[in-house]
Amino acid sequence: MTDARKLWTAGSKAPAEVSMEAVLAREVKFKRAVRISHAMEHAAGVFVVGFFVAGAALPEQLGLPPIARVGAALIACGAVFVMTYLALRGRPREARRDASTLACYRAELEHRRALLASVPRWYLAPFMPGMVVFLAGIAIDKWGEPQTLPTLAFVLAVVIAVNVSIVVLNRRAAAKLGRELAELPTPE
Amino acid sequence: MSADLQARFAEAVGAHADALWRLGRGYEHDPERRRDLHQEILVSIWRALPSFEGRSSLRTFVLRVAHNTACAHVARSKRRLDLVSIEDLEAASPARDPEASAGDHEEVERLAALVRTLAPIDRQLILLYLEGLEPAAIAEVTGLSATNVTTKVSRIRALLVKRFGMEA
Repeated sequence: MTDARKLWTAGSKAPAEVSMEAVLAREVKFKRAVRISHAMEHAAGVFVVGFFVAGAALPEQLGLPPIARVGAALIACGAVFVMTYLALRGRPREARRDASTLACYRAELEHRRALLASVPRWYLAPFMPGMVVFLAGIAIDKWGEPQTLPTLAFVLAVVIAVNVSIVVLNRRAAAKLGRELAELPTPE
Repeated sequence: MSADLQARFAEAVGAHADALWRLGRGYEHDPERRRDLHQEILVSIWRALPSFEGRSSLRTFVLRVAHNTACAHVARSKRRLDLVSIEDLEAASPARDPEASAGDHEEVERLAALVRTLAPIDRQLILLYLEGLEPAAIAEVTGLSATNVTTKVSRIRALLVKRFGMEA
């Protein structure tokens, strides 16, 4: 009978001596990729903030009614909050790779689950006050026009549907991770 | 970058070069992606090495970093949710056809394919077992209890006999 352990280890050797240059080049490449990814996140956030700040700052005759401008400013504040949260807590932490594999895997899954489960709190809630004030501002300004109520109802329905979908999908993903965590063996 | 750190890296990686290379076989079928993972593991060891304080052996340290890197590799993958446990595999495995014969290379590839279907912790356990580590050493690397490791190792043995007709 073949010995599985002998078969596994026989004839499979590392291809060549490890090149220090290749390892260091890979490290540089990894750091560059992280920097680019952070810069892109940052740029997207700056675009959103800039867009709503412009909406809030434009003179009334060129842009939004006064209450909607307050709403736009609040949405910009919400975007700043989300960007800050992501920068401080949302990015994958540099796990201690020398911890036991069970501890390391558990920490990775717990981090992902906590982030997904808290999406309503840190991703949706910060935009809500601004969104409500913004829509109220538009509605008050256009009150009396025949299309105002149906348009407002449609926009509200879309906003609610998008938010509920985000909550449901993230909760479902968090629950899957929770089940995976519950199935992990007990540590030593 | 100190010469001392480079020397420690060469020592750490050099002593386990073949095991680190084989580890990739349990995670990636595609040779290119396997090479990528191998490089990623080496970089992780390089980055973690300054924090090595000798609280465990260098072998345990290197294997933990390597397996944790591979584990994070799996955690990022969408295939993660389709992975199974050793117990599931043992229950679902068809018995090997006694007439079937395959070369060593094919047998290793079949074994590696089976390893790649396992959930991360079980996968690490079987890979460490195949590398010849004793249950106590496997428990130290994985953080599982010795009893748990012993139980799982006996299941791995049964699985290897049933599925591949291999002594283990």
